[in-house]
Amino acid sequence: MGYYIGVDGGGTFTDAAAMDDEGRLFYAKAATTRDDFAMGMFDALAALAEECGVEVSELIASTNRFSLGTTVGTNLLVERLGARTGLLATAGHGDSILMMRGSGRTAGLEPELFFHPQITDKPEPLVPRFLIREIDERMDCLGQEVAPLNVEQVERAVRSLVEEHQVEAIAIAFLWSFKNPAHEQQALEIVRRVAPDVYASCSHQVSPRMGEYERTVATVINSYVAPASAAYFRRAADKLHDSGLDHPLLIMQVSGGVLPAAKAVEVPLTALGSGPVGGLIGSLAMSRQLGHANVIATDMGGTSFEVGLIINGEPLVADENVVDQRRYKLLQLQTTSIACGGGSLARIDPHSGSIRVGPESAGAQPGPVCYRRGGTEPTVTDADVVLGLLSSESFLGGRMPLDRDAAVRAIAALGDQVGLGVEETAAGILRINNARAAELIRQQTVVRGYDPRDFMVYAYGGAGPLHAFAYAHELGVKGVVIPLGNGASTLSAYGCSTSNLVLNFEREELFFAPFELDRLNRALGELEEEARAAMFDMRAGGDEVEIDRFCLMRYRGQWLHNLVMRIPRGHLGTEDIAGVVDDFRSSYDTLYGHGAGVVSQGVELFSIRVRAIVRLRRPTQAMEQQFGKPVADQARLGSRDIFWPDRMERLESRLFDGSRLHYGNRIKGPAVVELPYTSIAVGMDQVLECDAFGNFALNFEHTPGASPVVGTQSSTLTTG
Amino acid sequence: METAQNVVWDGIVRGYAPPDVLDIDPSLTLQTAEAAEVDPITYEVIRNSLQNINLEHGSTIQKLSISPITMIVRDFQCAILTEVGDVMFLGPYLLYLGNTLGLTTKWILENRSASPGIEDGDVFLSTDPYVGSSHQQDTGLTSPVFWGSELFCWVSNSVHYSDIGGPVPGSFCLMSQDIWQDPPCFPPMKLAEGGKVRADMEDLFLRQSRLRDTVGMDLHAALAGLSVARGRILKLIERYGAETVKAVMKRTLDAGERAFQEKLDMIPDGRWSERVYTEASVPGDPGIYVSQINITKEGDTLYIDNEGSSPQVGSINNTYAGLVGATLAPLTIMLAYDLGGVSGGVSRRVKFRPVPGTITCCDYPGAVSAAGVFNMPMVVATATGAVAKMVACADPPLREKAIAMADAQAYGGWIFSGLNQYGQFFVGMSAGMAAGAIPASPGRDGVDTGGLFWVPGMEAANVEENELAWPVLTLYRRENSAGAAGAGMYRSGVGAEEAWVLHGTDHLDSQIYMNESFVKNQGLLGGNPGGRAFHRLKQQTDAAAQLAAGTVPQGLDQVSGDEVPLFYKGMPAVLDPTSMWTTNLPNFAGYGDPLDRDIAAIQIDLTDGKLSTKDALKVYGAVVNEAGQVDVDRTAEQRAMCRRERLAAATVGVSHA
Amino acid sequence: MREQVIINENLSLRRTDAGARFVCACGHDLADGSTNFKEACAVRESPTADIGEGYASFAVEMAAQMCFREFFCPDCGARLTTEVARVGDPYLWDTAPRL
Ligand SMILES: [Zn+2]
Repeated sequence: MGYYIGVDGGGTFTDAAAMDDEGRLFYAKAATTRDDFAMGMFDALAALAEECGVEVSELIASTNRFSLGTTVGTNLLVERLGARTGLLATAGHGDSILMMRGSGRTAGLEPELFFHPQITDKPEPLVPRFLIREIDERMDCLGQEVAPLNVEQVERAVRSLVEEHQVEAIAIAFLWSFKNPAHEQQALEIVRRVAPDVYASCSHQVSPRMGEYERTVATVINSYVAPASAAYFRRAADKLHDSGLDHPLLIMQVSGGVLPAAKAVEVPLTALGSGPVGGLIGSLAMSRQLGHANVIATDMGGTSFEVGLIINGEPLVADENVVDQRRYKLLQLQTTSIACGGGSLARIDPHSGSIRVGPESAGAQPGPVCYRRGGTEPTVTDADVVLGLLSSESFLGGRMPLDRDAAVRAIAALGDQVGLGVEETAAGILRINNARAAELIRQQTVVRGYDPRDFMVYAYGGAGPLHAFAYAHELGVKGVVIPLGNGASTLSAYGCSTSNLVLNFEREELFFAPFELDRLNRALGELEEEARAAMFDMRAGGDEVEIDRFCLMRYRGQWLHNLVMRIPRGHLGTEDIAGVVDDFRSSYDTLYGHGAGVVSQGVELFSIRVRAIVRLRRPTQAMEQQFGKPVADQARLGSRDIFWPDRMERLESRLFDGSRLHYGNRIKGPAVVELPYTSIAVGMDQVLECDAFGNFALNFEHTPGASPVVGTQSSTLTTG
Repeated sequence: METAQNVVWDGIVRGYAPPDVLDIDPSLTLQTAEAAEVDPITYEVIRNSLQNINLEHGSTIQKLSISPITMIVRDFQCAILTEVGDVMFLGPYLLYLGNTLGLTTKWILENRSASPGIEDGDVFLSTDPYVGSSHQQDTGLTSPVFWGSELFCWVSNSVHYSDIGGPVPGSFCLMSQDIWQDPPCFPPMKLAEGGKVRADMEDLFLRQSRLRDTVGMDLHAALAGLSVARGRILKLIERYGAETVKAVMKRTLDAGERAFQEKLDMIPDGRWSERVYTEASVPGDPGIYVSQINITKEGDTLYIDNEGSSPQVGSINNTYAGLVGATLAPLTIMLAYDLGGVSGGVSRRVKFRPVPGTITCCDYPGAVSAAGVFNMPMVVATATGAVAKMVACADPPLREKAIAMADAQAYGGWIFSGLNQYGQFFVGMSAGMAAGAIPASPGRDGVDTGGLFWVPGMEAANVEENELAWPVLTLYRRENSAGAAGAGMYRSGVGAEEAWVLHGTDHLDSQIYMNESFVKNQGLLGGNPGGRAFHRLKQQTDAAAQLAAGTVPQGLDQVSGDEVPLFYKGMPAVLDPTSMWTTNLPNFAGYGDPLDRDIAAIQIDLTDGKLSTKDALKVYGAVVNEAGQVDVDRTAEQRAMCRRERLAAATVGVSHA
Repeated sequence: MREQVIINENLSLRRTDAGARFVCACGHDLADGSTNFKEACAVRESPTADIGEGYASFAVEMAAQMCFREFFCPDCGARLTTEVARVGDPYLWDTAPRL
């Protein structure tokens, strides 16, 4: 039997998912070990092997493909634990990353805050001023050298950064390097020679895009996260190899694809934030099976809550990303996150005397109080246990008993400080946490003009299925899907395992219409060669490489606008190019109104992109054939009193063993479905149904706000 | 409007000030019915949709336009207006343009509803500052949105077009003594009819421009913005019904008014003023002139006047539309910061009592084309000072929302023209200094290169973007230090400086530059004023030789050559391959006595290299030891001595005059 | 009814038995609340070029018409407010809150 394995590590838990040759799915998870991430991964693999019924060595040895997604880079950034990083910048332009184009104060924040200067500020710099070195050198906009690189200055700067300031990483970002990388390459060689142990990256490699601020940000973040990320990838790859993995370890990328670890260490930025992308890819695969065009993909884990959108069947792609008000350019699937999850700490706010939940988290270490790992401050998970939503016996399939008494004591102590009882306090913690989650979804949908009532929420991650009954209900979405049931807590891992090899190559080169065909064909050819060679290096080649070619076009002078146009395959002729220009003009008019374009205005092509994909084969998911009875007696575990935070009352609630539920079963709330790695709460007036792929659909009988909408819609018809 | 009688504020002989009830031709039916009930989720969805539609309107203009002034500096604004032209949402762009859209739309309702009529698919174009634009370049487009046969609302934008004609490139006519020496001024006319652009009207507008193609693209970008906004509003109405959407619009305005009212309740009654001086009504004029704004707060209303402003003169005037817009901008930031751009409710509580015939509210035919770079920032600065003093008197915590003055030359503006590296004629406006700075507030330092608060979305172009568009090479762009300029108990954020040499051309005409003769900024309640905005020029430098030899010059003093004295509104300067040009955007205003500044804050600036030991002593009375640490005891002694010295050097008595 | 209006860390308008008064944080009673408190201050008037680096321009004659005024509490020397003004222009009466 061969296996296809995906692992998602770096959060509170390291998750694993496997599909075997017959299309059967298996899931497992283990606590993430902060000191050595690889340990947590092997713990998860051991648990996965048990699920598959094989020895872990056999599992690894018979694995056909192993994909790893990680939040290691994000953790480094958020917790500011990245490498001490120095920056080499063009003389006179070292302040660029500090000035942030004047918009760093509000970048990535909601537009409402733009009108409120006093509560906005720039973030603490990743590279403080004293670690920025300016180097005499200069290229111009055509890539021609204006001033040569001052080699001695680079050497002095590197020595000073490394010897006096002990930097562990260096970012090199010179003006116009994407036009002519010679100076950056020379400087890189010097760094490699002077300080071979220091990680260094150049802006022309990390983000070869116009705009020195964004390019510098990308390079600095890349260098900042690189040493720890690369160590993590290498250690994982080595250990897996030692354990008998016969294939290269694949690392999940924000592009939605995977890359071999040896390739991924070159630019760790492209893996930054890939964990949530795994979940989005998993949701995408599932939404296509289920026919859901619009999906709010929500992942609540131990520390964070991530939201991604699928609109009309396609995940939202972003060309730009903002992390912590720092903007950079990189093609990626778009996800947004806040610190809000099972491990979010509940604390008293000394100023207002109210309870605050998050953003601080207990993480996996020490973790919630009930984990008995030394945590003393109550968390959302502790509140779940106190209320009875989480069972203290069946957590992690019973492998990790939870200390309910300790959770009760911790929450009671918190409640005492504000004069609330234990249950009231626990329910309050959940309500605050759910409101924060609902607010993020609102920001991503309502604020962008999407009506959540047109969407399904996919709820996954360890804590998503348990809390979706409240946060999704609040927004009035159509319904909730817990994709893959027990697999929901490990959906990102599943998504990793379904991803293909994807490489994006991009080159900024300006062509005025009518484009010089020879130069364009040459540039496309070179880029395509580069992509094929890179795939070949990854032992993928020949016909299996699918090449898609795109170009970015705009009317001459439109720096901030572009349309991505597909370029036909093969050698381009005059007619092909005329076709692309026609497509551009007509797409422009379609998007912005007939006549929006000006016929006399020239069209320019300023960037070409090549996307290479190698589709990785995998078996089709096995379906449950038999439609069972709606009644789910076979899975009934009895009842438990649960204090429901949305109703603020204790209700006798039915319990079910999720692993024994079958296609066609229906469960009416109030109920809790227990699964080894997550639990699904079914609120009053909610119904849970199981489908043939093992997904659970949570349907609401009453959608808030639904009836008035129907009323106004009918009045529209008479008005119009 | 409370003004002298027999004076017609009609948009023809004087700026247009709309009456409370508009005189609209009865042939035009307005949609006014509102749903009685809107559930909270629907309300929130529609409110956010409308706001989002307006943002999309703005981002469409920004993306599709090709002049850096629009796409990078955000020198534009867009709005959704009610059926009677009340501005509902503003975008995070140039705030003072917001109200100009309301004025123009109201004027159209009163003056164009009978002839040529207002119909579905129309777009009106106006460049007339006496109707409602801040200067002719800020051309407004406004378009009615019909539902059935009824006028439901308006979508509108104002964009700064790079050149709309007149005697000088860029259309800022510094020499103008009256409007006939300015670029042409078009009262509202139908650019589009029945959804189609009229070729004759488009040509009439574009024919004036030196940059027909650029302006044409920008005009189409503005039209595209309207059509995106209009389309989405119609979808919203289709889905939720006109009456429900209208109810949300009205309630949002009411809520905005209530929120503003709550702020006013925290402010004592009284009167606050600010005075900003400027010079040179035309190039070469040695005169000094005054811009003054006064705010009187009586109960639930603010009354704004400009008494004390100099009589209108030369090219340094703005119309009533400019005065209103410039005053509402700081009011929005300091008293409506929590409304996300809903400004309509605010303007209901603000009444204007303008003194006409002044530089801050001129009568026809005063010249106004230069207002965009001169008067408007100056009047915003003046209004900011008055509003900030008023808000500083508010009860805590509202008083902390007071924000000191940004510079009267806040753009660090420089307009130049020539042939670019591709051999094409261009008119450029430097946006590099748009990194701005947030001035000080009571209780908080400003933000270094933190943007310009009255153009919230403003952004500096990347150096690479400038160098791609213009034949220049930026030798450096760096933050200023935090010395005397903008010092205070809370200091202003620092501004920035950049230096250019020519690259890819051997000739550039510097059309407009603003070398302040004296500092125009005013400190807030004990703070230092911001710095003086200036440019410097050296000719016959060895910058090119240094570059070729591998050194990038990092200061004007590091190159040889002769400095050419630059003056405010000096004659166009010609740059050649030996020239080096610097632009300094000064720090903005500080708040409170610098001797009261927290020692820890001084230490942070010292450690960060932003404050010199010398300035620490001179400006803040802070004594720094050899280890670079502020000596607490010696600082206390030093500060006591400074206070004694102040009194020794001061005189007590009534001001002269 | 307000007992006082805080204007900045040093200056406030306070209700007293003698009516509304401008008062310094040092305790100094500065002026009647219905007057321009600047008239009661110790005033230092200096050239704007002396404020600091970068304030001097080539327009020396124009700049000579302007000055920088600092208004101090005559008792403790705290700087209560400042203004840049044309030499000879009256102090701007800019802060007149009422209790
Ligand atoms: Zn005093």
